[in-house]
Amino acid sequence: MRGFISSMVTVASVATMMTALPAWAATSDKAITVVLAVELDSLDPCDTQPAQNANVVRGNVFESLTHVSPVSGKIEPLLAESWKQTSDREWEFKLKKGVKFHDGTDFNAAAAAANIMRTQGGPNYAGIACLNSGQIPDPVKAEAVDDLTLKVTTSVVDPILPLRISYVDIGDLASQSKPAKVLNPVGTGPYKFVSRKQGDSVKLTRFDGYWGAAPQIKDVTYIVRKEATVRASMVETGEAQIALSIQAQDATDDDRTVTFKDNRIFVMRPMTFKEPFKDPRVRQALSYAVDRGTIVPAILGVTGAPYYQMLGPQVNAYIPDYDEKLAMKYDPAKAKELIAAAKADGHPVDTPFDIVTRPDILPDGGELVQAIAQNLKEVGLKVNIRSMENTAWREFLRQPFPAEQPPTLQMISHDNTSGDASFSFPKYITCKGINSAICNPEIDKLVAEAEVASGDKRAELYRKAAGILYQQAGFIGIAEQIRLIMLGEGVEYKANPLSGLEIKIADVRLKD
Amino acid sequence: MVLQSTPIVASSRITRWRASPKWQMFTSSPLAVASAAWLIFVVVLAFVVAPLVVDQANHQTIAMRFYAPFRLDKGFEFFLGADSLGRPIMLQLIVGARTSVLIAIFAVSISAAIGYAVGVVSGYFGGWIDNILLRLADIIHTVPSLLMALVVLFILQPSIFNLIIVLGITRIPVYLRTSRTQTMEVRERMFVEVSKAIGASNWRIITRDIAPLVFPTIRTLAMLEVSAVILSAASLTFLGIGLQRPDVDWGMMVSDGRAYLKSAWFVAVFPGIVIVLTALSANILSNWLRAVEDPAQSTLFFRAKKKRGAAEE
Amino acid sequence: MYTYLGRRLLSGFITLLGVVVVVFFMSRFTGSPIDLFFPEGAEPAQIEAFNKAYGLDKPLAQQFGIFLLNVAQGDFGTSIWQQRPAMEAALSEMPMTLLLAAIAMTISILVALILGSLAAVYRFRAVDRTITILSLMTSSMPHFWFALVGILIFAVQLRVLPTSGSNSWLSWILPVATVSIGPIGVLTQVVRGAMIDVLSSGYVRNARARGFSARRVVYRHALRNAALPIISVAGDIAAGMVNGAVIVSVVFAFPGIGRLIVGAILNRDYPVLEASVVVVGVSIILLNLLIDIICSIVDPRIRLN
Repeated sequence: MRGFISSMVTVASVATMMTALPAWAATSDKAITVVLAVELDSLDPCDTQPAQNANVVRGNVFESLTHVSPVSGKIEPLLAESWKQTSDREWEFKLKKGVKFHDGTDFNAAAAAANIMRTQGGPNYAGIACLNSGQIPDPVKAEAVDDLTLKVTTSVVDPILPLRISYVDIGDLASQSKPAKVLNPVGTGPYKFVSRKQGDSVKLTRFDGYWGAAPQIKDVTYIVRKEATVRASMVETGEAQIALSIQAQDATDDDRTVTFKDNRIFVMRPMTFKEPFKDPRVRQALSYAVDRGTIVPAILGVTGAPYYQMLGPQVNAYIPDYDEKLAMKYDPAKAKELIAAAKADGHPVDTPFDIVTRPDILPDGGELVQAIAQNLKEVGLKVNIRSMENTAWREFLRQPFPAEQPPTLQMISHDNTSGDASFSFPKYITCKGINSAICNPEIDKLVAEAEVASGDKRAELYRKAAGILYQQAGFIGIAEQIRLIMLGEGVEYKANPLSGLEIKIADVRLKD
Repeated sequence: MVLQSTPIVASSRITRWRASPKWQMFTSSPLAVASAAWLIFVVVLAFVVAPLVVDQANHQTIAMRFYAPFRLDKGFEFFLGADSLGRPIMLQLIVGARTSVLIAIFAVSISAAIGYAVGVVSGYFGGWIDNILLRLADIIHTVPSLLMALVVLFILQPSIFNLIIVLGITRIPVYLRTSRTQTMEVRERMFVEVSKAIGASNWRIITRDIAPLVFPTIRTLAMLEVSAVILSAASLTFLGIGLQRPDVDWGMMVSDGRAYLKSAWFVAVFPGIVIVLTALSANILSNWLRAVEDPAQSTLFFRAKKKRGAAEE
Repeated sequence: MYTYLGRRLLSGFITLLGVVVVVFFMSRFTGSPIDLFFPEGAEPAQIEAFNKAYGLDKPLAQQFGIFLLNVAQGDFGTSIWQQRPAMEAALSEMPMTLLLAAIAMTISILVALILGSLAAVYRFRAVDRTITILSLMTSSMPHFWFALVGILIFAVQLRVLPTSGSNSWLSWILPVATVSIGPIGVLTQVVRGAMIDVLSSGYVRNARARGFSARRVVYRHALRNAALPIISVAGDIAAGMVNGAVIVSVVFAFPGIGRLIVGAILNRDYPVLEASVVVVGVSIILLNLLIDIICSIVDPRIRLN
């Protein structure tokens, strides 16, 4: 595990300057407006997984026991003071004392345990989806030993449990009626929930009983605007102070546009169970056909860079020398050659397939996909773009893949902020993975071994699996995404690799 | 104005037509001529030019991304600039014209034909069939057309054909009501009574006596609807439903361009102007048609007659 | 009068019933909310419980029956995403839409009255031609394009208006203009036509012959008589404003029923979709009824039958 953490350190320290934070400014009565791109689904602590929810509540309303440091990539204490692995499958967490929920009740081990249990869904919480449940794939049992001691028992050996626990946000369950995921989030964070108008706005205000340092800004209003140009303009006109998901063409050259990388990669997933993609040569041809070096900078500008792997440089499965040595870079002649060879062996390489994408897959994604389609046509493949909205897109993403479904090349914007491939590989590249369109026994074996290994061993096993995956062209990287945030006049915020998931208002400063 | 197949007859018809007051009225009103010319121009572009340039129009040249308009150094096709993938906007507009014209012609024809036929029959017979049809029309009419189209196009695959069907169906009530009302009025006229008295069948009365009288109204309405359908279709593709690349229409072009409003205004503005011009031409022509039927209303097409205006200070 | 009202309400009710049926089945065909609501690999037990809670586990016909029974009791179910009664969600968005429509309608009618009367009074003159061409142009303008160009000019370039939202009265200007632009064109044409008819009719000529000034004739008599066609067209236009409201909600993030419906379609929130379409339907039906009644009051010759 040290491998990926140390690589995270270098990248993170270049990408951010968190160490140079100004001293805590005095509290003020100032208010800011943050403009989001997507309406949030819910305010439930159990649903902080989708970015649109997390952007509002995570780190502001809710806190977790552990936290991934955006600077070092290490797991740091937050509501837990310390933890230790007491046996193979048992962990003990000592919790912070004197932490209060927004409603005045005490935070304690019982509340923490209840949240961990609830995150896993299960019959007691049937009827309510918990969008974070995927972060804990194998059931764990959490129980309070005493007021501030929590015991977590895992069902399998899980070396990265503290990392998983960082995805469990702690809310005061007693104050929340369970199905009402939207009405009354009560957490321990520096901001408490004030009101929400569906489809319009969410308001937060500073929580005076916060256990940590009081933040400078008092009131926060979140609004949603779907048009990126409008979001950018709002910051320029002073209607908002922070705008998320800005497109390259609206970015300013000065320090008002801040960038960050959140390990988000734009990838293509060929459906290897169907022709024309059964032969790996045709899949490799896909990679050789796409002229990333031309189309990515032209279309994504500052928001993307050509990329060849599935996972970002901060994830432990990243293969450092892959790009120089093995990457299947633009070479249309080679692509045609591979296709011809597959054809000679009787593969129906001219079977038309659908590029399955969504309009909001990434900023300017529509253009990028059209450019990819033209590249693929140029090497003789029969391509048809199908841009569909989220529901339909997911039907193509997930198993099972019914026979009547046409062969697909699925466009996916995949992020992994955890730094650990176990949050990606089991789901995306194993035979049983819900989002997997490839089945390779070797990969499955390596992934299963990695699951229970730790540190360098774990990283090496994941890298091996990744090597096979890329050689088989089961996933084809196109671009590493770089995200933009736009700040208003006088607003200071240092973006970090976690900014895609949480924008801590406590980290925002307003100049006088 | 139905064209005959025999050339000799046709030519004599054209001569006669040229001498007709309608033609004279048409040629003497510059606006009507200009509108008709624009519409003919668009149709020619759509059906003659578009098939020739479609490959060139859809060809991306990344280096030409957002090439600014009104310059000729990269060739005439880039005179209106290039879009985000370096496709020539002018050629995209021409290919988009084909989609928009196809949709307008077929959607209007479908809704006009169905609405006209059903309206006449329903108005003529009355009774419970009439009631049911009227309620059906009400239902279509009560669900706002854009919503209806939104939902239906969510279920169906995006394609020009489905767009035509959806727009065609949502516009039926307009014709149905108009032709029904007119039929009910015509039905009571003397000559229909006479036809009935001499034993003409219902079918004959409907097709020979009533339908021809209702037709001019439907024709005028259809012309008016051309502009409405062009606008509705553009709204739908603007909202991102109904069409899929490489199919393109003007609404989709505006939609694609809106992300670049600040950096490349022309990508969204040119297709918008073309939509306005086309809808406006269709509107002016339909106004002209109405004016021919009711000269008192017209202002754009006829000069004030010798007699003094209706109101003066 | 009362039998007429009764009959109209009955036919309105039947229409509404049809709308409910259409919406119920159309929404079911757009796919299930499960894929959106649940994370990948959600437990089957959870999905089952969800389906049960929203009655989605039963056969479609049975769902429909239950739905009708509930609707008859005024219960449209609970919103899947908002966790409150769907009808409450729909009604809470309605005031903004009604306000937007009312403002837009008032402005459209006022502008149309002024322009249309001017055109009629100065028929065949330059004023008339200009107004007619302008009105044709505004009715040929796509909502969405007008909205975008409006944002580009007034918010991005000149920065005199906000880009979006509904916080200050300034942020109402572009949405109201967007919704009014089409109706202004259409109504101006109608006003002009009606005024010309009235001005050339016998009794106005009479009034003029008796020495009343043209202005007085226009204000006193002509306008009142021209009201009828204006009101009857206004009904259709008000229904069309819902389309404008959808565009306005998408481009300006303006609150209202348009935004709710678009969101409900995208999220497969069936109960909200059903409730909001019914609310819109009821409004349109009532509006048309109201217009007929007003027409009969304005012009006693029209009898309500």
